[in-house]
Amino acid sequence: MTTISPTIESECIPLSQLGEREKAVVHVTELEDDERDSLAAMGLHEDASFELCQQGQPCIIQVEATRLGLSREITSRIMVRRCGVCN
Amino acid sequence: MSSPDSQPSAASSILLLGNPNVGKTTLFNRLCGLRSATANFPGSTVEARKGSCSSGDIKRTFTDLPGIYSLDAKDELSNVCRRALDGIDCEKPDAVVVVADATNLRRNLTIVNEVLHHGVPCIVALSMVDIAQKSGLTIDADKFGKKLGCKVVPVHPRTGQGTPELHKSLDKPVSSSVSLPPIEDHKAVNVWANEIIASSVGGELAIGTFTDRVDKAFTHPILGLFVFAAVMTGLFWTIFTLAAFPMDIVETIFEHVGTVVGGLLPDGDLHDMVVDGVIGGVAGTVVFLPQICILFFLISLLEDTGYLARAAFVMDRLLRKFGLPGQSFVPFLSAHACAIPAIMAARIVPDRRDRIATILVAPFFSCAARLPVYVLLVGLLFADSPFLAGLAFFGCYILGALAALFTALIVRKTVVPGKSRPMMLELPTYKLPSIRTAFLTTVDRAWIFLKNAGTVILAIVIILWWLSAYPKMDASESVIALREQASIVTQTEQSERLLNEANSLEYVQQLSGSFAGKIGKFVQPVFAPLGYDWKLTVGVMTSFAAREVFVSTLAVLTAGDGDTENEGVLEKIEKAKRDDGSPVFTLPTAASLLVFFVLAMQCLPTIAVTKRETGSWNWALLQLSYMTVLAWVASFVTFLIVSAVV
Repeated sequence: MTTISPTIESECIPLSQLGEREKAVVHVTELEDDERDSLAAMGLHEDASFELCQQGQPCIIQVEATRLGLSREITSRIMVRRCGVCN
Repeated sequence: MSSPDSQPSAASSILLLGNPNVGKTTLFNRLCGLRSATANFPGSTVEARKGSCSSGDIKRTFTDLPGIYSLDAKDELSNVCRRALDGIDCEKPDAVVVVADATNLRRNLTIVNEVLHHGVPCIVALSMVDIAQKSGLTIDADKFGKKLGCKVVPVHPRTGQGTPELHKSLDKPVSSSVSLPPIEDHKAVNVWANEIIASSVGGELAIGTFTDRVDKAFTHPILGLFVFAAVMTGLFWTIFTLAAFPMDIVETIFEHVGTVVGGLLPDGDLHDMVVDGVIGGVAGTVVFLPQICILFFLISLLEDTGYLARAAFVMDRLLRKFGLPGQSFVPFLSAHACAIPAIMAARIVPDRRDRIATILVAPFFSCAARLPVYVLLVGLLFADSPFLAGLAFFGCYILGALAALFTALIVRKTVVPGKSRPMMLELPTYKLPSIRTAFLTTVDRAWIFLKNAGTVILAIVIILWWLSAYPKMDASESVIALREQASIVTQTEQSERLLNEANSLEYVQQLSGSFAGKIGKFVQPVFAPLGYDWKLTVGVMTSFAAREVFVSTLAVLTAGDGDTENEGVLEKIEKAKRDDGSPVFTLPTAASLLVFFVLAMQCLPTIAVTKRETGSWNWALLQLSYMTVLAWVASFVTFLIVSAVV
């Protein structure tokens, strides 16, 4: 597995505002500790890159080989930065 | 236990641990097959399957722990896994097999790191290696193992490929002595995982587009609902269609057993208790076994394909508004067949508080056992209008569903406060289901159901039988007269009819004078505002064992009420008279009774199963009290409204 350095935008937006098929990197989360730890264990930790597959309530994201369904209650508290080339 | 300094000894007590959807249970089934049983962890309602198998001279015990993403999480599942690793309330394991998905190594290494930190000898079983290879990855298991400081064995849980090597590794399990990143430092764990992957994994993983394409339809806000409705309709059509025949067989078997055992026992109390109490009572529950088996078999298949997670995703939008998670839909759908498998199916709900809320409201959904009561009462209410009867029938289902959802809102504001856990749900890739896993899951669930029927439910039906059989009443003059008449009559048909009438009358008199009857008359004032006389009250009370008993109880209680000899059972019930000569079933009484049966618990086995699944009588008694009070109030309001209108 190789990692290509992504081109990351400086502006942070909530994950819930990301458009479909957009790729982004997790910048910081305002989640409760247990929620943050659960997501990290599922692969969505800070600095993890992912793709938004389906926007909505709930939405679907793809983190490497993991596909996650997340409710807006969660995605509105995850700040992300859009990126162009991240895997 | 082994240490790096001593010669490791063969492991005999082994834990299977790993993320959900990695093939852990399939591997367990491959290793142990039917030599396994489900048991609760001490002091918890979390279950794990324990099984055994032999490798050469060594007998091994495997425990299939629940799938978790992290040992460090604060939920009940992770807590149970930590306790199992530490040997608290159970045997300390000789080794842990962490099942890791080869297509998703970075994430799976989180839990591997946590287990290695525990110091218990560890072996990593790499599953889905074939899929990883097809997707373009090559994994050097030896290099991978050296980096982790433990043995890494590629396995194929469905075919059993790699299990001999896994057993070989368990002959000499070792604890890792390599330097590991701190568990709480996600960044350090990520860097460590990247280093291991970079050194032992080659190629680039091609993320499948098939799952992506299918998800466009299956998780679509509107199309997804249609797919959901189609899948669930198919599921229930299959259950009801396939279960009908084996249910008939179960009933026939119990009838034969009752006849044979009854023939062996002399007439008397023991005969009545065994035939009417034990065999009849247990038959009333076990008859649902085919439905339960088919339901769990199909749910296991659906779960294995990956669709069940999508269905939970689609339903989450609706159920979240009522404080329930999307996963609650499985128990709710099952509840339309029977509340018992529904409550058992609530195990699919991951959060304990969400699960309790789901269990508390599931019995509101109209089950199959309510159907005979609905048919009788709707028929009485709208005998001349099939359209209105159909509408009322449908209304019963709607009323039950609304009561469940609004009760869920109340439950989440009171006894189980808080919102349901926000959705953080893995949507596994679609794959072909394992028939073997579905079969073994079904056997496991069926066994749990039968154990319950043979213990708690058996005790309940014996008590109920005793209450209705004692004290013994002597046959009345009218019963004796009918029997004498039957012995004089030459026509067999007429003689049989007279004997049946005598038996029914004797049963009514026995029931009326029994403890159950006396309790019914004592309790009757409570139901008087709803319009029920003592007969209806006894009917309501005896149907507490099982709702469908209501119709047969009424048939028996009103057996002597008919004016003509040629009336059918339903006609007799319709024309039944109170002690003062007025009709039992007026329009307000029938409407009130219908609402009562939609909303009341009226099912002792369900209470027993709620106790079992929640681990406390408190939840079971709360459920019973709430549903009974709600049913009474709603029936009273119905009685008043209908009385005012007609």
